[in-house]
Amino acid sequence: MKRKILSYWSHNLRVVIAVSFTMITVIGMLAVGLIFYTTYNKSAEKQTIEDNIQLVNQVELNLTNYLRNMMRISDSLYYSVIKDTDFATENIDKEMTLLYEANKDNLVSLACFENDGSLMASTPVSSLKPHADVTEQSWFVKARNKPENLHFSSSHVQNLFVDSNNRYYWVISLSRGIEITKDGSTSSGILVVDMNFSGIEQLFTKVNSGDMCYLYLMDQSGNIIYHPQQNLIYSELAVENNAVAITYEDGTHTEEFQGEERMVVVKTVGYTGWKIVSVIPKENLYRNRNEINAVWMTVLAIAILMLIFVNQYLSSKIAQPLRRLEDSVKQLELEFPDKIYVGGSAEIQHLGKTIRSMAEQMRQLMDDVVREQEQKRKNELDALQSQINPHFLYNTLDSIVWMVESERYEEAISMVTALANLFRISLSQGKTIITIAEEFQHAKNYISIQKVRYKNKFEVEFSLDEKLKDYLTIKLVIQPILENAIYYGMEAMDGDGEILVRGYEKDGDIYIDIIDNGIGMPPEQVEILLKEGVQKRKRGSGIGLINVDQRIKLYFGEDYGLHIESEPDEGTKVTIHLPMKLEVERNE
Amino acid sequence: MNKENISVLRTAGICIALIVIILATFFNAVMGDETPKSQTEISVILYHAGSDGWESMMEGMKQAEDDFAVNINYVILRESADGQEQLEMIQREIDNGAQGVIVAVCAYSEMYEGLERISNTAPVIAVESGVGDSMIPLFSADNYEMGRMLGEQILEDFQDRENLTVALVRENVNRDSVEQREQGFRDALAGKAKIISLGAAINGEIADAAAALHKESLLELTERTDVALRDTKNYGIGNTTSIVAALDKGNLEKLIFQNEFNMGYLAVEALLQDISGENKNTVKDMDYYCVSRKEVYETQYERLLFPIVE
Repeated sequence: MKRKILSYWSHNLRVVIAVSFTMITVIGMLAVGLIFYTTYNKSAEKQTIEDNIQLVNQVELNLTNYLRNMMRISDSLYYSVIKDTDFATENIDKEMTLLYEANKDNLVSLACFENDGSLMASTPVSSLKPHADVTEQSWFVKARNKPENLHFSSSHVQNLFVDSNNRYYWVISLSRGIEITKDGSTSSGILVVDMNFSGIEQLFTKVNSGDMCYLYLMDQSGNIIYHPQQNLIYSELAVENNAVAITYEDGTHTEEFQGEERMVVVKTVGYTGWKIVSVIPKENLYRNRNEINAVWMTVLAIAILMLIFVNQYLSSKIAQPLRRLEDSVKQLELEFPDKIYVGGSAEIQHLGKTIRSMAEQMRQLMDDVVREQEQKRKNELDALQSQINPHFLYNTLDSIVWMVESERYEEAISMVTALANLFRISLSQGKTIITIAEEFQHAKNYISIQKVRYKNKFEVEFSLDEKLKDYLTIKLVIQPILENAIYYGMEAMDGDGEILVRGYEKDGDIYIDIIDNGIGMPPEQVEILLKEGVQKRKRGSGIGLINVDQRIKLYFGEDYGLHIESEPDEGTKVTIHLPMKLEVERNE
Repeated sequence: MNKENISVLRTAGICIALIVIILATFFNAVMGDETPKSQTEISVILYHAGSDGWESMMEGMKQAEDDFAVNINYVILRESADGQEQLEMIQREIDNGAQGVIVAVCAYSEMYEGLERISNTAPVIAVESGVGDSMIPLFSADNYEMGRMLGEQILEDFQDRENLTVALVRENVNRDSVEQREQGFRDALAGKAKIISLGAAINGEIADAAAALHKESLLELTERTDVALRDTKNYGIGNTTSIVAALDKGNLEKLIFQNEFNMGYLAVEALLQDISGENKNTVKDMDYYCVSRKEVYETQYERLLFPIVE
């Protein structure tokens, strides 16, 4: 059953077309879809990373500007105020306050210390906590050790000054070594600008509002300065891979952290050595992948369904006329050619018309063949029947009896021999084609019998070109003509009849003339002699001139056959026109 | 209509039906995804613990609010509110649509039955102070151990002192947390120090140290200016900005505190899990620490005592 179905499918043109088209188009669409999908993913990943790099660069720019602004404040305070002040006689409270007021959104405090940690000036708070030891602060130590540099601390709680409101501030301290003038002599000191941590926090909060990625900031030692989950990290409810990230060079990196693959973009902030780290969980890169997949799969499924329909429709359109044509051809043997289907596309219509035309020709040819065969059989039957013409046979046998009774044994033997030869050649072992020599011999046998019967009332002369002896002719073509010549030409004559039978070659064909000097015929009679259905036989063997003429034409073609010339009281000349053939169709 | 045409029409029908189904499924999925997820509504009902008493814990809750799809309504009771009032407030919040409640229980004995009943209708989680042996989950440090640690720290600081006397501020003892802390505290000092009331110390009985077991009383203790307490060193449990400032100023010798940021964050997370049916939480022990004035600005404590507030 399965094999039958497969066989049907593999041989059904419509199914083959539909399945082939569908498979090709589906494979094509899948390939295109896959390419699109892969390209989209790569492009989306690349775009996301590029966007992230831009984001990091922008944050770095903003942070650098922020830090530069803080450095400018420090520079202004130092170069424009502290350097011009002799602290023995002057103070810088007013200038500091002005500077603070101008930048208080980003500042927590400004303070100037001597190298031993004693406070020289500060704003907006003025008194240190009693137990505060400035010299132990890391920013102080760094500035004292490297006074020529500006130092940015990590984020920490500002813990130096007394605050009556018990407020605390997370700050980043910018410290530097300074020269302090007092009574004309200079000494070293430290200037610290405490930046409000919220300023940095705001820079990052804005860019961390999305959920595609997050950015954090760490100092040159890998300590987190800002992180969107900073409190969670401080409370050990969350962790960050900062210890590893600090080793990364600027650029894009891939890391695996807590079982999650992440893209990391690192950018170092100039001067501070801080690093901005952007983290993109890899699954976020493909977050829209499911949606894209759904769209892609939906479009693909719909396209495939539409293609299946279109392919079936098209294959049906192509196969339907062919199937109808096939059905018509199958019924060709039973149906008439005009029932051959003509329809469908131009090519199939043309094919239908051609088959219809071919079928008509075939039918015509088949009819012709059948007709010819029927005619051949009929003619041959007529010819064979002539061999046992009862009248001829009775007369001949009667003549033989008469000869025997008259003791004319030699003549009787001769006649019997002639009769035997006559039948031998007539039969010719069933052959239709014999040599011209055999045909002449057959005619001679016949004449020798007839001459006995007609008491030598006529003379017959045979002449045959020697070179034509072996050429072929259908049998029984001369004898019927001789029979006609005797019956219609000689019997009615008063005097001796003469018949000439001669065979010769002319223009590459063979001609056999049977010429008698009988009573002849008028032209109108000659005219109808070879017309079928017009002339009615009255006497003779039954093989008429028409029979001979038709048989020659059937075997050798329409160019050959009989030609009759006759004049009343002059005689008749019947010419047999044959092709020169030695072998062809000898055995038919 | 011949068989071929019928076949084509049948295929067309099937294809159209499938396309409709696919499109319907697709749009349903897409529209379904676009439907905003409804936020979970929860309420946090806390007893009064001073102006900044819950700052650190609420910071943790706000962090959870950012991290999870939750909308939190904060209710802080007035100072004189009792257990009944807190129960009514809890019920009102649930009636108003709160899907779960976080509560710092002000009077556990009064509220035991009421909270048990309410917890049958909506998830309830206790923070800082729970409801005794109730099945209501509690997110807090081990209060007994914190009290014990407090006592041990006093003993350590006064190890050379004979006849050590410690004044204990006994307030809000109807809170489960305070009761347990006191038990731990008394167990630590048992046989090693004499415990008197703060009133006795104020009235002239000499106390080497004074201890408070919760934020409000500790802040009050650090702000006292009684002459009788001039040489008394203060110790206590509970951290607020004001208490840390008192520690920083030297008005407090040592402070025992628990990680309230984590307490708030984890309580919200646990409540959301309860609401979604993912998990049923019981007691969750928070970490607790002891910090002296000198250690306040050490990185470890600085991060816990001064949460970064946006």
